[in-house]
Amino acid sequence: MVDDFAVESMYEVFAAAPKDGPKRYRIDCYTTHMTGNGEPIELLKLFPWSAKKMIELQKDQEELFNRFRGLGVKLEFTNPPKGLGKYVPVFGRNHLKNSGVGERVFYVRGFNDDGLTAGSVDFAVKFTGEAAARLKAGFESIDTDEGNSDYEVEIDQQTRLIVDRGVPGQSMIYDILLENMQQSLSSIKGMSALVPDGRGAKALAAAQTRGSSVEVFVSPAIQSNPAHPFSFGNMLWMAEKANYFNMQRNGVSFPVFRNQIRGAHGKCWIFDGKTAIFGTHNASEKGVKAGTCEAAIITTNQKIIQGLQNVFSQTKLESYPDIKGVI
Amino acid sequence: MSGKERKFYCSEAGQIKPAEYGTVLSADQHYADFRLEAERAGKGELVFAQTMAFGTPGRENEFW
Repeated sequence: MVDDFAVESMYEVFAAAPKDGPKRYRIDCYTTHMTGNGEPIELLKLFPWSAKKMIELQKDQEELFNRFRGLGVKLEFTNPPKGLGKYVPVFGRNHLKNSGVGERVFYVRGFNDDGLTAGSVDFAVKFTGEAAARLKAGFESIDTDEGNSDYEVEIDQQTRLIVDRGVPGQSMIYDILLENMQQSLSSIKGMSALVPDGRGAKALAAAQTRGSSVEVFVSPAIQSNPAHPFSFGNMLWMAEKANYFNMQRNGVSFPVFRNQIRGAHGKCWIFDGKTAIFGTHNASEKGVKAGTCEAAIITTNQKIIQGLQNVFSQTKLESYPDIKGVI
Repeated sequence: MSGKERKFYCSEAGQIKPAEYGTVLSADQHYADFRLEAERAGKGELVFAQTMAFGTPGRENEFW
């Protein structure tokens, strides 16, 4: 197998399933059009010094896909980029991650099936029974229904699924996050791969000012990597610099804790210990403009909230308040 | 460590059982639990997953 525990684990999951049973794996074309370092493959093919490496990479990737096909897994690739989008296949991605069995088990998760994000601070929440069936139907609608309106699905009395269809500038999830930030009375705990920007940053600063305890956990500071000048990581590095500059200029400040041990890729917010919102959305206003398809769960289920509180506690144990991280 | 060597999160007193509704799982725990549920898939029951990024050969060590 490959040197990636998440891929290996997924292979073992499909290998464990009944041989003649149906198996489906949806993979966004981000994977087929970007290197593992987040660089556009088609773009690097234009340069003679990297073209050969890119062709080999695609061959290796195809071999990997064939291993899964060999188990009877039907691979479906979502969102094939068109035209110039092939050269910068970042915008309009399908950011969804989930897994499950039939109508009876559904995992909502933030990590991808790659060791980098699965090895970071992240989590999945398991749903079973009727809730699992409703979640599966809610997620299927994203890929099968026409239309571009964001929507919500009732999962049970305490839990709703919110879906952003990926229209640039439109996000029901972000609007609900903002509303909760603005209404929080006592505490906000947040976790994201990115430091919140724009209206989210302002709402968090305002919550802090009115006496709500705000804690936001994010990854170590993103570094520019000159070895991969066209990488997604470098784009994010520039975006974070601009974000930091804007926050300083506007006097926006709230406590940010950077996990120095490993990345934080989980996306979760707990408001006043009573409401949790988690899923794939990074609470980034720039992300909303990028038009990514996202899903989030909003719940008041105390078992889930307690489990998520534990994720924060564990993160806090391995992190430390980095004075440079407080902006 | 391979997925096969990982302990199931749901092991209790030597018994392996799936996690319950609303359990928050780490990635390792998710894969172990998912494998257990996949093993138990009934006739015609779809085993499915969806991801944006997929462990790709040739990755170096960058986090974004």
